[in-house]
Amino acid sequence: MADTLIIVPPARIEAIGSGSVMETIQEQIISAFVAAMSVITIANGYNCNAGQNIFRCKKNLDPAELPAVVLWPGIETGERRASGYQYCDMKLGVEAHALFGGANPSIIAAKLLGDLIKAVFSQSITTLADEIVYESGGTDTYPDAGEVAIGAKVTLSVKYYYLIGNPYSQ
Amino acid sequence: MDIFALLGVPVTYTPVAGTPVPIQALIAGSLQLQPSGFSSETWAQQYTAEFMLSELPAGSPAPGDTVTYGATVYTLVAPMENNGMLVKWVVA
Repeated sequence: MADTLIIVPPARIEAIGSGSVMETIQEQIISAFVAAMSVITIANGYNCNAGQNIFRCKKNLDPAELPAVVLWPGIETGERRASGYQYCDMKLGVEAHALFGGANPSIIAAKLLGDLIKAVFSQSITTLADEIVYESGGTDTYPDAGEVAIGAKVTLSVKYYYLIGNPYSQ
Repeated sequence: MDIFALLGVPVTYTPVAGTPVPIQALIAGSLQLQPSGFSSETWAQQYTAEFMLSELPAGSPAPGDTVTYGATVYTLVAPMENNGMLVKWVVA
């Protein structure tokens, strides 16, 4: 395992926010997650180079784009606090996909899962989120005969807040 | 069967252990999204080969048997269908 994280410019990172001041806190958090997944490289001590191909809400992947990480922001719940803040709990799905070649797909899936968890919790992704909780993860469907790809996914609970009525400011 | 005469192609079926035989086969390719159960899925071409059981050598089909069509060699991976007359396998 590498002592120092080597930040490799990903081959593809899609849909990172523009950095505009008019991005919501939620968008800034999602963009931070997208960028943070780029640490998933073998050079950084991970099992694969999925961090070189990062996508957001991309349903169909070309085999040439694997290994890859795909982020799926989901529904969030909100709670109005007397302090003047809207406290949110956003579900964020993060998937890693790879071709398994001649290996057992379950073994590859376990490695992908490990990479995702490590990437989320071994670095400080953003100071905008109060808390990041691992809610679930793994692989529940394995390839049929003749199939070539496998994946693993984690569902995160990302808790953050913003001023009531102003999702751009904390 | 008529469908094999109409749509089939002449192939050489070679068992893992045995003598190659010339037969007719239906070879088809389709796009598969895989694996299911994820929000993202990878598309990949998957091929199948279908045969008349009566034309196959004894002991076949079996994993590792090959089907040669022109310059392409397909290896039998896993069965998909077998109704006692026709058998379809995933090939790679």
